[in-house]
Amino acid sequence: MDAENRRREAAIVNTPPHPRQQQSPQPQHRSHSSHTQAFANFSDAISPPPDQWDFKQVGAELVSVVNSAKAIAEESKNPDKVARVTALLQQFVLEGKDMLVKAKDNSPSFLSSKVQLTQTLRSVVLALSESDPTPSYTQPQQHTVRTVTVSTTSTTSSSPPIYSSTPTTGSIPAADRARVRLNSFLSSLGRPRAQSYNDQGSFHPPPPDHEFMHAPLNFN
Amino acid sequence: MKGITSANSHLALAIQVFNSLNDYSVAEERRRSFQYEEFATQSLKFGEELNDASSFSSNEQVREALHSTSRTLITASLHVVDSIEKNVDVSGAREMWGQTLTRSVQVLKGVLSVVKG
Repeated sequence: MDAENRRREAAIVNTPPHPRQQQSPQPQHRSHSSHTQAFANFSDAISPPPDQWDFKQVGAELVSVVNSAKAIAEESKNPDKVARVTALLQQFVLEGKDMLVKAKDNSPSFLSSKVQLTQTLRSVVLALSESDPTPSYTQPQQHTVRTVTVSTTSTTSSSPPIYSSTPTTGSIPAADRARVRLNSFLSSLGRPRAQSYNDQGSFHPPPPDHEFMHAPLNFN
Repeated sequence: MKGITSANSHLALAIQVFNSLNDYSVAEERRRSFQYEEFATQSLKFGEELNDASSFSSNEQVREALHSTSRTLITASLHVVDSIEKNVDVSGAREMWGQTLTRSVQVLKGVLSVVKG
């Protein structure tokens, strides 16, 4: 029992904690835990090598994740969250289909496709685990966006505050806009266009060398 | 491939914006001061350049790699924006972003070597 739980935890590909899963089990959370179970089931289904997959089951678990995530988002009654999760789920479905095709074709890029899918799943979990606004929340368009300038050139690190004293729960309009643009581009990307396979030269990315061409990475 | 060089410079700018996180020692300061839109702009230009470049190649693997790199980095960028704005697990975003960049650079180098060769 414990072992299985541990396996499920591991299988969820290092996602952040399941949304609200840590809370003590109360009757009203029963449906919630069955929702989060869908994430574990999906991760379980794609854990073995693809030649051992039951594709029907993987597809069904994928759909189950989508339905569960939607249900959790809707439970929050937070329109921003619903919109964000919906956009991420669209991406998740696209990537899921892409991964299934690659798994069936035994494509060399299957692994990167799977990694991408799990990253998106993490984003979904992250979005679902965001705290919801306090009860005074009314409509999503309440932000007063006064300081927004389109210019992206000058950046004064000493003049940030739109939200001078707001605690960490308020959303930041600039972040919302950035997210919308990024999501919209992702949705428009779809899949690479199929062309004639007349030039099947071998393409092998070189081994990692942690060298970047222009700018140094400066992660503490 | 011109598109890749140009994409690379946008990626460098996105990295600069990301690195500006280091200017803020307090989490809330990072959250409020991060240049979300500039970061998104540079990431998007990177993605667009790569996506455009992919349509010019007749090599399916190259097209696939460019397309996939574009998507992966935009996905990671979304994660960065989310993490910083929500003030959760910025270290996780750093790690993911770092890994994605490393991978992107590998792919771009691989593509360039094929194109030049």
